[in-house]
Amino acid sequence: MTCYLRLLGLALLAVAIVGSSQVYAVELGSDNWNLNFFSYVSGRAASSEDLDGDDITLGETSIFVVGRLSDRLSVLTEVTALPKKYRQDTIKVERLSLRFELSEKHSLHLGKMHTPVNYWNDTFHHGRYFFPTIDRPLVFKNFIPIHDIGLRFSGNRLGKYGFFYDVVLGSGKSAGNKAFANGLKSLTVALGMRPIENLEIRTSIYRDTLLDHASQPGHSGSTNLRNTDLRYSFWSGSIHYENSTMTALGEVSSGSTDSAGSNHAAYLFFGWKWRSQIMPFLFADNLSVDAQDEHFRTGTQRRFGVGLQYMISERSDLKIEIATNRSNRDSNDPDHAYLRFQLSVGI
Amino acid sequence: MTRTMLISDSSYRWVFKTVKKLLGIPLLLLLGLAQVNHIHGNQAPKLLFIANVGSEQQVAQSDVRAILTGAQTSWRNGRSIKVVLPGRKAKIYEQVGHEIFQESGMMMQRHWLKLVFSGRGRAPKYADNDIDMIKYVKNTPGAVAVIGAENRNSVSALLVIAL
Repeated sequence: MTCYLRLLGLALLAVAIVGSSQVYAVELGSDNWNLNFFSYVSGRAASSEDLDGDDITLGETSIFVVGRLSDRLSVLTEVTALPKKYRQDTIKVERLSLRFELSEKHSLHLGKMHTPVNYWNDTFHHGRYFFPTIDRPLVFKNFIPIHDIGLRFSGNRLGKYGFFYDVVLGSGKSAGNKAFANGLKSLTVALGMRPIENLEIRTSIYRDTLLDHASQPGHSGSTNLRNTDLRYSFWSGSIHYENSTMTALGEVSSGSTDSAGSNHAAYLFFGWKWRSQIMPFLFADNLSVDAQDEHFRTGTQRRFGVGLQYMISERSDLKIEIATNRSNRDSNDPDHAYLRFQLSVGI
Repeated sequence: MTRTMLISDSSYRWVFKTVKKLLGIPLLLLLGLAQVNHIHGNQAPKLLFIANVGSEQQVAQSDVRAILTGAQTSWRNGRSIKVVLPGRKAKIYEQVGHEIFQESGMMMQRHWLKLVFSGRGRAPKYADNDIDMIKYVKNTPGAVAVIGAENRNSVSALLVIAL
């Protein structure tokens, strides 16, 4: 957590309270604040003994606070904690944003947020409890711009078909936790519709410049182009459907840096609500990075799996998966099959 | 030969027998279903949507579902909607889950938790009984709730829509 973020958070809070008291009635009481903890533990048994990591791992704990500062103003924070054994930064601010309702259907967000590039990133965030499968799609460890700091304009329930939009003017991936350290660097535009209650269709584009790309945390490709800025663009499409008997999610994306051709990813999930608390599911996940790409590790990776989600209660669930993983991208990740479980809670 | 005889002797009897044999049971089922629907259609509503809004606020039937499922978070004047839902101990917990969310009460809570966590919705309050929900809505401008229809007489000052 950087000093800057703390200052930003405090400043936003101060502005919110001061501003609200003059214009709207401030209702600071227990009714207006909501605090949740989400955590998980997972385990695996794999066909290969050459895999990195432990067989039983403690997952990150997410502390989530949402507060209503006035009728139109609310604040949202999500902080994750993980022992040093698993991650360099034990505490991380994942989201810290202020939301202002411009009208019934339009709102403005300011702060650190998840980019609304696809359904998964805009919905599940760091709460494993909500994930339909144990892991995020492969694209997340690669070319999804998960976070951004900036300004987001949103609108929803527009027109007969429930159109929605999100526009984010952001600091870009290179800025890390420093808001607009290099000026306005990224732009996300997402458009979608919810033509019927259970269906959401979305498409988005994201543009950014990766400054000195070889020094970026996401860099995992070759280093031929040291000290080079790369323009990065990313397109994504999502479709999500859920009713009382099934849930389905499809996400496709394509990204490219100006060093090479396009990289592609696709993720498909289908779950059948067999019983009110039991959902068998299957998924397929594919990632392909162009052989000439200078920023991302090249090659292909595929995962296929089946699993079972048992919703133990309102606040806990258990997922079990059997899957195969094939990859020619990483020598530390040989082809293997695995059985995994994940127990996640939300309090 | 039997069929020819039947048709020639009394075709209406053959037709009647065939219809009875092939379509009797499905027809009876359909008639029964229609009767059930008829009874259901005439039944008094079991749930009521209540809201503490001024008379200038128009709430359509389609808005009610959007509000209760978190798709609509603000009133038309921009002020926030405060939702109160039945908690696990409430008598109508499962009923609201099934009738509004088409899922169990547990899934209703998970739906809302996901919505709040994604930043799209504002956390609802959960109450253990109708009386607490009515009390909260009466004392909180902009609040809404779902209650059992037997409490209709206790909500005279509020906007009431039968579900």
